[in-house]
Formats: sequence, structure tokens, C-alpha cells
Amino acid sequence: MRKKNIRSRPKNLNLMTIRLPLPALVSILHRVSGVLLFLALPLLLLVLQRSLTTAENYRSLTAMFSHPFSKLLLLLLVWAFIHHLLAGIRHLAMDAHWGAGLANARLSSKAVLVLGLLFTMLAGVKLW
Amino acid sequence: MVTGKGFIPRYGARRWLVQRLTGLVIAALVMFLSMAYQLTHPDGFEGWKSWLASNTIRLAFLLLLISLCVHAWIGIRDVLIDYVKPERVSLLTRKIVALTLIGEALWAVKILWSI
Repeated sequence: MRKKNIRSRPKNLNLMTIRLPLPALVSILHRVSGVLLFLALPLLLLVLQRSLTTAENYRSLTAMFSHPFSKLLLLLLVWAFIHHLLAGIRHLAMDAHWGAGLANARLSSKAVLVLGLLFTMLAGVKLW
Repeated sequence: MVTGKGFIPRYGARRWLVQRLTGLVIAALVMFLSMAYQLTHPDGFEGWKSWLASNTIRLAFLLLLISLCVHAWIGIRDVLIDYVKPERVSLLTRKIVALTLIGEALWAVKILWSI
């Protein structure tokens, strides 16, 4: 009887209508960036391995990475790493009970997002 | 809550600690390696290869990649548990990911030691 009641409770899973608070956005991006980095790991290892085989392979890899499309993908990975790192530091701060409370949580979330974009742009400048 | 002589974390508490520690190790090593790269300016294939062949850099890279695999395991495990609901599929995906990460760690050792 109880299980049936739980199943029939109304639920809204339409992501388009849910308004996400800023800390929640930072949090889900933390998860997404982590998964992205995990998926990129074997590719990065492959590139590392290839870059150490012959000079010809090294050169073709550098050529591949000077392509604007691959630079964009690399920038995405850079953002993923930076955001994951900054959100991770935010987690550590929360663990130490710094930045508790709604106003502080919103502030630290904004800091993560803004600094994330800023550092990514700096990396982008370096890539280009 | 564990009390008594010596607090040795188990399960959740240990995982929490390892995740934080590996995260810090990764952050520190990424900063160290990028600074070392900027300062040394290794040029071309030969420069890149010899830079990586130095024992300090090789060790740093290895530590980075292994910490990465451990850190990734703890994180992805949580993601899989959250989103893969059927029990047997969930366990299977976790086993596959664990084996993949162990494989990647061993691969990293192979790459760095055959320079």
C-alpha cells in the first residue's frame, strides 16, 4: 500500500521548467565537468603516448592541435578542469564550515563561475 | 562515529578523505608541472621527450595520473550509483569503470617508463 502511494505522487521532471539556484548550477557543473574529464582521460593518455613515439608523430599531433576546432575542444577541457578545481575548493571551504549560509553560498558560487570563465579565457589567450 | 584509540576511517569517511587528498595532490602537481614546463621551455620532440625523461618530472606525472585515477573512481562511482538504478547493471558498470581506471593507471606507468 505504501509503495503504491509513493509511486503515484506527482513529480515534475521537466528540466526546462525547473529554475536552478546558482549554487545548484555550480554543483551540477561540478559533476558534469568531472564526467567530461573522466571521458577525456583515455584520449589524453593516447596523445601522451603518441607524442613520445617518433618526431613525426609529435609533429602531426602539434599540427592537429593547432586546428581551431581542436583548440576549442581543448579549451572546453581546460574549463572543465578549472571549474572542477574551483568548485572542489569551494567544497573544501564548506567542509571547513567557511562560507556557510545562503548569502555566502551564492557569493562563493558566483566566484567559482566568474573565476572559472576568467581563467579559461586566460588559457584561451595562451592557446591562441 | 568511530571512537577509541586511533581514528582509522573506513568506507564513507575514508573515501571522503581520499577524495579530498587526491584532489589536492592533483591540483598541486598540475601547478608544479605547468610551472616547470613554462620555465624549462622544452622545444620540439627531443625537448619534450627529454623533459619527460627526467626522474622528477616522470615521478610527478605518474603521481598525478595515479591520483587522477583514484579521484576519478570515487567521483564516477557516486555518479553511477545515483543514475544507474537497476542493481545488477549498476554493479556491472561500476566494475567496468573500476577495471578501466586500473588499466589507465597501469597504462600511465607503461607510457612514462618506456621513455
